[in-house]
Amino acid sequence: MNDDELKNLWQRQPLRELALTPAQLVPAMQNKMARFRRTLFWRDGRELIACVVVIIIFGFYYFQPHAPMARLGCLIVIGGAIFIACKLLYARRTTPPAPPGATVVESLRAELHSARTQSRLLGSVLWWYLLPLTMGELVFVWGDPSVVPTMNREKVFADIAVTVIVLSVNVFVYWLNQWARSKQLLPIEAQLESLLHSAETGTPLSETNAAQLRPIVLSLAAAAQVKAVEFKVAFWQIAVFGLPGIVGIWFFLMIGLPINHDVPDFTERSPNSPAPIYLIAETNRDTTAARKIVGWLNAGDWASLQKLYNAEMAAAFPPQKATDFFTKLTTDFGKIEKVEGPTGEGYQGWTAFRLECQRGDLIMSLALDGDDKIAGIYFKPAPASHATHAALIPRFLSWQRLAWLAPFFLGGLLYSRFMQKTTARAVGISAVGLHLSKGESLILWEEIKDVRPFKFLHIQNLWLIRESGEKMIMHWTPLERHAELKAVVERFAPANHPLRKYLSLLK
Amino acid sequence: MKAQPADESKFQELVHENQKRILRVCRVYAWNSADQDDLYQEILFQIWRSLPALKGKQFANTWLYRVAINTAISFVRKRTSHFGRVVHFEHADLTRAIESRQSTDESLDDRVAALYTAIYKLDPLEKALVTLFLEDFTYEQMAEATGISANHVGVMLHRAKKKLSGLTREEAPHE
Repeated sequence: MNDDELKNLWQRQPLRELALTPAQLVPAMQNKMARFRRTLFWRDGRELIACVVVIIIFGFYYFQPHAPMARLGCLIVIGGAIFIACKLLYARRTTPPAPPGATVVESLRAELHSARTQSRLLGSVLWWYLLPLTMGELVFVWGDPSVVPTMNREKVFADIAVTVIVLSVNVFVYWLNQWARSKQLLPIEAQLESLLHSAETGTPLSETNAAQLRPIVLSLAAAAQVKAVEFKVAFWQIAVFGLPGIVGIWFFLMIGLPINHDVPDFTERSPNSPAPIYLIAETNRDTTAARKIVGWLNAGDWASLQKLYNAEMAAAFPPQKATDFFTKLTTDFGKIEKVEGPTGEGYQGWTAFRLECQRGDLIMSLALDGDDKIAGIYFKPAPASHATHAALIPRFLSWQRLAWLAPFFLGGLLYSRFMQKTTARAVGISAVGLHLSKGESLILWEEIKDVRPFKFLHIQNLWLIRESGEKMIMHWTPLERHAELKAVVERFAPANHPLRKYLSLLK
Repeated sequence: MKAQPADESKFQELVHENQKRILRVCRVYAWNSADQDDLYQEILFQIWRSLPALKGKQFANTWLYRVAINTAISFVRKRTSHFGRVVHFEHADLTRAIESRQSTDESLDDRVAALYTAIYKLDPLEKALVTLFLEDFTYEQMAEATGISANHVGVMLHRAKKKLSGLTREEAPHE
């Protein structure tokens, strides 16, 4: 064909009718403009909201009774969050897109500038994003000494655990950013540089870049015939599984809490006598003291109880403090109905007694000095297995535990929403193959050499593996209408296709 | 910038007059009807957004192609960066796969389909120049629309047409 024939063919080609009529155009554009403005607003809003949340959380900690070093940590985190928000906003403001009426070259230049800025930001994420926040968090964690002198060892272990978690998260975030930079931004940068160079000098694009920019090699005949069967996932369908899953985590956490953490500060002991006075248990003396203590506790006679404190205990726990402590103990657990023991070694080798209370059982560990005075006393909830069901239920349903249900419930909803987003139009199935990533990515049936299951929480996904070893994930069990999905796979997948082996995962 | 009521009629008129041209650009840069619809709407939206910047009707033609081509190049780049290359195999493989299971749609104009398939294999700048050439633009108009100098337009278009000619021969339906 010569030039004129080509132009003639081009300009006379049949074109399909459009979904939008001229009358619908203006309202559609107005709607799109409103959405566009909202997107612009939230794009900046996201960073500002994150910054405000960090300021509120660490500002709150700053005004709590913490050591000066821990407060310095709070200030570093707050300063870091403000710096990060400003840096992101500045980067965005200084890389505006070219106006729509710009020439192709101007538009490419603007896109290249934006891609380079993004790439630089991701490349240096360690210095401007991770380091200030991590430094502040670690100063905050390590800067606060333990409020209970005897708990120093536990605090160090807890701090080490927090440090390991914080550093692990940071390493992951750093890796993720570098991965995104090398997989997405650097190729885009190279493509744009190449295109711009070609436009400015008239030289052809390198074959590598040309190939990367040639995404779709399909005939129209083929495109028109690829009609993927789509499976959308309704929110409620995800939530039916997602909510019980996340709320279940709350349930099991709460079951664990009464055993170990219910009354973490029910400890009164002399700071100067960390070790028990008697290495050999003198049970008679201990039992007598324990029975006296129980009697005073049930009678609410804190004054008599405090008279039994030795000098160090009395100094460490003045009357008001001791009264507050015992009031809270008896309020939470009620009257002591039965004393068992001594039941062996308790806290730090002290003599232990089991106290059966109205609202649960306690283990009381007791240390006496040479004058039969109390040198240390420690209460901890007894293992739940010994507690009666009747006592467990009100403890389990206390408002402190139920209050945690709300964030877990919201977490379940968020999780369901996230799953719905990631699985929206998750898979299409046609005679040609599987259409993944909202139908954008097509894998021919023949291309899939192997299929392997991959479980994430309660959801079964499948790895589709090509001959080259390249893997792509396909959401499988969260998809709605399992019966239809089965039918479509059975209809379109070639006989003996590895995907057929996993139809049994569909309910 | 916000389009005023006076601009609304100008917008409708502009779209009405150039609908087919915009659709052809969409077909060059987007492979299936859903993507073409998305791209078409995106181009219209960019026209709507920048309509107040249009200086006069005499510039509308070049301006409109600038908007359309910029939007299309950006659209394709975003799609490919998010989803990777959409199809990892050549046309012949897919055609074979389809032919083995489905009957072909005879209503499609094979020559146009072959032309589009060939154009798909060009890079974005070549696609832009070939589209403008097929739309009957002069070198100067192409230079104005793309920002590439007229000399370079000549060189690049010559190269693109040569490539296209080879590709159309490959893609031409066999009699």
